[in-house]
Amino acid sequence: MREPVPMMRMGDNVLVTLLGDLDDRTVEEIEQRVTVEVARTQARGALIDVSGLAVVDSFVARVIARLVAMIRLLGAEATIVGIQPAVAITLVELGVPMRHVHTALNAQQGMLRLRETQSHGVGHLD
Amino acid sequence: MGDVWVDTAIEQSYYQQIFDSITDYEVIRLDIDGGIRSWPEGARRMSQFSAEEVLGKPVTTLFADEAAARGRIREELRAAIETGRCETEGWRVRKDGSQFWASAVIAPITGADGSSVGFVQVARDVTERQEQEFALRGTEQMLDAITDYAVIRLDHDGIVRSWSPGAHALAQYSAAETTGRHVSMLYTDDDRQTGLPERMMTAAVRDGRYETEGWRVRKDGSRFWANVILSPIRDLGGGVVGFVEVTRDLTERRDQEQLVQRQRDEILELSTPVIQVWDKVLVLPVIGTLDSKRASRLTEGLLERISLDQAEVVIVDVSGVPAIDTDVAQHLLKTVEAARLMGATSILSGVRPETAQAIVHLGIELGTLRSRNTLKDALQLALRLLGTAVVDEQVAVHA
Amino acid sequence: MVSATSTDESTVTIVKIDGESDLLRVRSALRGQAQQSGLGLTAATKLVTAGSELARNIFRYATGGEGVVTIEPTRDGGRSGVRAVFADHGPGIVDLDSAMRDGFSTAGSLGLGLPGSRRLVDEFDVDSVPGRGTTVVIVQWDR
Repeated sequence: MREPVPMMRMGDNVLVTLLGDLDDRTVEEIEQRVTVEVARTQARGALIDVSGLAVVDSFVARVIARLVAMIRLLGAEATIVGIQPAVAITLVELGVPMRHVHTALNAQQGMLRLRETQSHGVGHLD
Repeated sequence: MGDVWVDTAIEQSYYQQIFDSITDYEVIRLDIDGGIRSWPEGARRMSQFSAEEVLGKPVTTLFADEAAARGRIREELRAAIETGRCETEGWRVRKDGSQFWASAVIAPITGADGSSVGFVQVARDVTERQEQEFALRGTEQMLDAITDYAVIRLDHDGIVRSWSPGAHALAQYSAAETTGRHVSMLYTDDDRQTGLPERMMTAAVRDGRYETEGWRVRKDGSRFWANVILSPIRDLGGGVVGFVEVTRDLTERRDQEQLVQRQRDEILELSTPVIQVWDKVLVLPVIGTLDSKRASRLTEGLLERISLDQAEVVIVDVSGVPAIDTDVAQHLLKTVEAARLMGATSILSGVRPETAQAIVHLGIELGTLRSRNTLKDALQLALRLLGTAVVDEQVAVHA
Repeated sequence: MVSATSTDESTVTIVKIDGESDLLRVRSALRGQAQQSGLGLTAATKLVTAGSELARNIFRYATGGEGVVTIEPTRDGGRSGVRAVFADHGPGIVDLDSAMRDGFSTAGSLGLGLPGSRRLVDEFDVDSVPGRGTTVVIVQWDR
C-alpha cells in the first residue's frame, strides 16, 4: 500500500508531501501521521509540499489550513511550498483565505526561510 | 505630429530606469510610425550609435539594407498591432559599418483608449547563432542526403536546368515536367505575384546566399512549409551564370514549433514583458489599460516567470497605468496574492500622487503591500529585503 | 459509475455520484475533456477546480449524496470548450441570492462552492427548486 503521506526529516524540520486525491478517510490519516511525527521529532518547522497537487479546491485548501493550524499548535512553524502557477491563480480567484499561511516557491527556498525564522525570529521577506 | 507620450503620461525616466538595467538587449521605444524614441545603454552597446545620432530617426536607419527595411517596416508594424507581436530577423549595421544579424520582436504599446500609441522593439544580436546555422547548413548541403532535400539548379533567369531525385520526392514533379520551366511554378500565386522568386535571386546575388522559409506548392496543389537556400553560381569572371536552390520540407517541424510557441505565447506575452532586473527580482511593468483578459495573461506570465527565474521579489510598476480604478486594483491585488502563494513578495512602484489619492478614495485596501514612488526606490527595497549588501551605482540614491 | 457514449466525434461522459471516489472521476473526466478541447493549463485547472467544488456539493448536500455529472465538449464559432452539468435531486437551494454570496454556508464549510466556482468559469448557470433539486451548468472556453 502506498504511503499516504511521505514525510522526511531535515534537521529540525519536517518535509510533508501531499499527493494525489484526498478524501475524508485519507485526510484523517494524514492529519494523524503529521501531528504525531511533528511531536515525536520535536520539529521546529514543517514544510508542506503541494507541488504534486494539480488541483486545490476549497476542500483541499481546508485540509492544508487545518494541518497548518495543528502544526502551529505543536509549537512548530509551517510553510506551504510548491503551489503551481495555475493553482495559485485558481486559489485566489476561488477566494480561499490564505493570508496567514506562509509560502515559498519550493522546498529549498522554504527551508532557507524556516532556518532564517528560526535563527533570527523573522524571515527576510516578512 | 505631436508626441503622444505626453498624452498618455508615460514618463521618459521610467523607461530609462528599467532599460538601463538591461545591457545585452536592445530595448527601444518607437512612435506609431516607427521613429526611434528611446535609446538606452543596451541599444547603444549593440549598434554603437549614440542617442543623439538616432533619436527621432526612423528605426529603419539601423538596418544594413535601409531601402529593404523601409519596404518591410510598415507591414511589420501593422502585423504587430494586429497580432500583438511581430518577429523579425535581419542584418543590422553598427556605427563602424560592421554588420550583425539581429533577431527582434516588435510589440505595440496601447494608450488609455486601447489604441496603439507606439511600439517596443526588443532585439538581440544573434550573429553567432546565425553563423553556426549557416555553417551547419553548408555541411548539410555537402552531405548526400538527396532524398531529404530538393536540389535544383537554375540558370540566371530562374529556369530549371537540373532537378534532383529529392526535388521529385518533395514537389512530386518529375525532371521532365520541370526542366525548361521557371522556378516560380513551385511558388504560391501570391508569391509569384509579388515577385518573390525574382527578389530572392536578386538578394542571393547581392549577399552571396539567401535563405528563407515559406510556402511552396507541390504538383497536386498541396502546400508545404519549406526552408530554402538560394546560392548564385558564378563563372571565373565573377558573373552569375545560375543558381542552386536547396529546399527542405519543414511542415512537421513548423507545426511542432508553432504549437510550442503558441503555448508559450499564451503565457509569456511580450506586450507586457516581465523583466528580470536582478537575481531573484522581477519587474512587471503594467502599461496601459487592464481588461480582464489582459490581466489574466499578465498574471499567468508573471507566475511562470517566478517559477522559471526562482524569483522572490516582484516589483509591479504601475507608472504606465493611466488611471487606477477598482477593477484594475482588484486585478493587481489578485496578481500580488497569487505571487505570494508562490513565495514571492510584491512591491508596488510608480505610484503617483493621483494614483495614491485614487486608491484611498476608492477605499481599496492594500494591506501589507509595500509601495514606492519610483522604480529605483522599489529596487532598493527589493535588494534590502533579499539581504543583498551589494552597492550598485544603478540603484544608489542620488545625493 | 462512469459511462461514456460516443456520438460522431463527441464523447459525453456521465458520472453518477454514489460515493466520494466519484469526485475523483469527475475531476479526471473534466481534465481529459479540457485537454481534448484544447484548454490552456490555467483554464483547465480552473474548470477542474470548479467541477470539484460543484461535485462535492452534490456529494455533501444532495439527498443520499446522489446526483449526476455530465461532461461534454462544446463549440461556438471558432472556439471550443467544455460543458459540464451538475444535477441532483437534493433539497434545493432555498435562498439562491445568499448562496451566491461568498462566505454563506449552512453547513460550516468555507461557503465558497457556488460563488467561487462561478468566478472560475466563463459561463455559469444555476437552476434550483427547493424540495426538487439543483442543476448547475458551467462552460469553459479555450479562449
